[in-house]
Amino acid sequence: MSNLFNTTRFFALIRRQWVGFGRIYLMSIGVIAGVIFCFYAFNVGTNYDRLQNDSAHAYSILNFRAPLFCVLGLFFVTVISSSYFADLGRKTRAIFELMIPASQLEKFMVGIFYTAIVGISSFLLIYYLIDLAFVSYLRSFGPSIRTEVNELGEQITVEFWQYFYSVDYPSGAYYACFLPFVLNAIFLMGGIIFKGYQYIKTAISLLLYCVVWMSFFVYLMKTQTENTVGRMDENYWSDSNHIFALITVTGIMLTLIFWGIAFLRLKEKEI
Amino acid sequence: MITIQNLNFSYSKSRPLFLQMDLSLKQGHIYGLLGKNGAGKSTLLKNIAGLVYPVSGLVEVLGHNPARREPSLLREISFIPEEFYLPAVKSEQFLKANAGFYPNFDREYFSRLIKEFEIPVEQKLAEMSYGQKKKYIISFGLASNTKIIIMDEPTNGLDIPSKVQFRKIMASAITDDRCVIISTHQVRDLDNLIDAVILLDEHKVALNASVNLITDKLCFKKTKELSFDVLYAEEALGGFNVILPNTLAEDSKLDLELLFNAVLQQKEKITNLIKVDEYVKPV
Repeated sequence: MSNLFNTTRFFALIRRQWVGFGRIYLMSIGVIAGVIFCFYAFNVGTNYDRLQNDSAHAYSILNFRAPLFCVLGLFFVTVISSSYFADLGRKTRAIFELMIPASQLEKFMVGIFYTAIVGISSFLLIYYLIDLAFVSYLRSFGPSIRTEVNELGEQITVEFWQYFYSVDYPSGAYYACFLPFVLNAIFLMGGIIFKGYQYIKTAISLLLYCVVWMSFFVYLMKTQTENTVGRMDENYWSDSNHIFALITVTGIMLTLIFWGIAFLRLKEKEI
Repeated sequence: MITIQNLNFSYSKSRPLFLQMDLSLKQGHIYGLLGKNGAGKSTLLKNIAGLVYPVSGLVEVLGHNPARREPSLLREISFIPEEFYLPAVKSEQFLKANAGFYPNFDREYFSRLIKEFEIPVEQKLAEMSYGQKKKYIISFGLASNTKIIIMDEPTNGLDIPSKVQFRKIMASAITDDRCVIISTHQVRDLDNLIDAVILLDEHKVALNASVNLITDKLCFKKTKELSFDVLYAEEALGGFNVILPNTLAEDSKLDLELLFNAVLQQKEKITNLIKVDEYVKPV
């Protein structure tokens, strides 16, 4: 039996970790579902009269969806990621965790499985399901589509009670898909490195790190562009999508680097 | 089974805990690990289990480096720490989640131990008393049938009947291919249980000898007056508890507490008498 990775052990570890982590996970997902539900319920409730009288023009009541989805989603991922290895900071729990006969790679992979794969997909599922329920309810107030004539004189159909999963996002939004993963990597690493208050310590460290880098870049750009005249070239970087792509590639690399560091810190963890 | 050579370990550079420590532990024995507070008993156990890493030196357990935490080694080690956490689940769920990692886990034996210790398994583990939890984790560790069992202060929190049960169970648990290490400062709890003593003092192993060897070389007695050849003596009710060289090959019962104090105060005198052969490396 391999000391590095064994599928039987890996699945046994997934089952085992559910006993400890499942409770935190279910509580977190329950709270998140409650918050999402409250947002929808509040906005529908306060606009109930408007919906009854003119539902076709009340679609702005769902404008909170995108910011709520992003903020809550990232928050959920960071909480789940930070708490997964938090037991290693507590001596009473850490010994049993480290002594479980599974390889460090398996332990780390199960961590990724629960925090990144299960965490992100369950958030998407919960969000989309609640949205589906509320939007279906909103659709019952009246028509959900109308016909308009666009600036080219063509007749088009506009769906104004769109389900969140079928909304056409701006093309740049897809470049940000690395964000939950890089945050997952950073908060997993923080959960392993810090001994207590892992979430707060990781968040503060991340904040300080961002402030330092942003200040450095602002200073750098200022010194590089001071007393210069801006010129627009048709070069590769004048396309904003290429800049987004660069940020995404950097984000993916950072994710892999932070996952790597987290794995090494897990291997070296002492009690 | 366990070999430690030239082990150097410290939590901080200014305060070394182990300096050039050597130790060899063999299968088929129950070792009692003794030492003053802060002597490094728990840390030595953690070094053996790979929970901390030495600064330098060799630690080899069943031919593995424990610092690598390989599953093939981990499934042969049961570590029962002094402080531990049990989740808020019932015993059956705990077993389902954890027993599978130990290929030789014996459910029948586990059930027997649970019964003997009178642990209420229908209760959630987190809701049990400290003593019940301790007995549960000891039962789990023993039923795992690992080759190495490491226990850090196992009798802390156990009531008197449980301590008796513990001694009985441990005595029956030892087999030829097993090595049990029990660290404690309650030396009386190890009476009639251990067959070898490891004593830590001044960053090293001050004594590592079998009980038979110790009682072959030393005689533990209670006397009314102190004779000239007494190695160590402590005042007791109506006389003295003494350690003498066993020149007349007398049978005596090892007094661990007396030996412990004697080694701490008269180390050279005592350890020189217990000739180093099978167990002990020169200090």
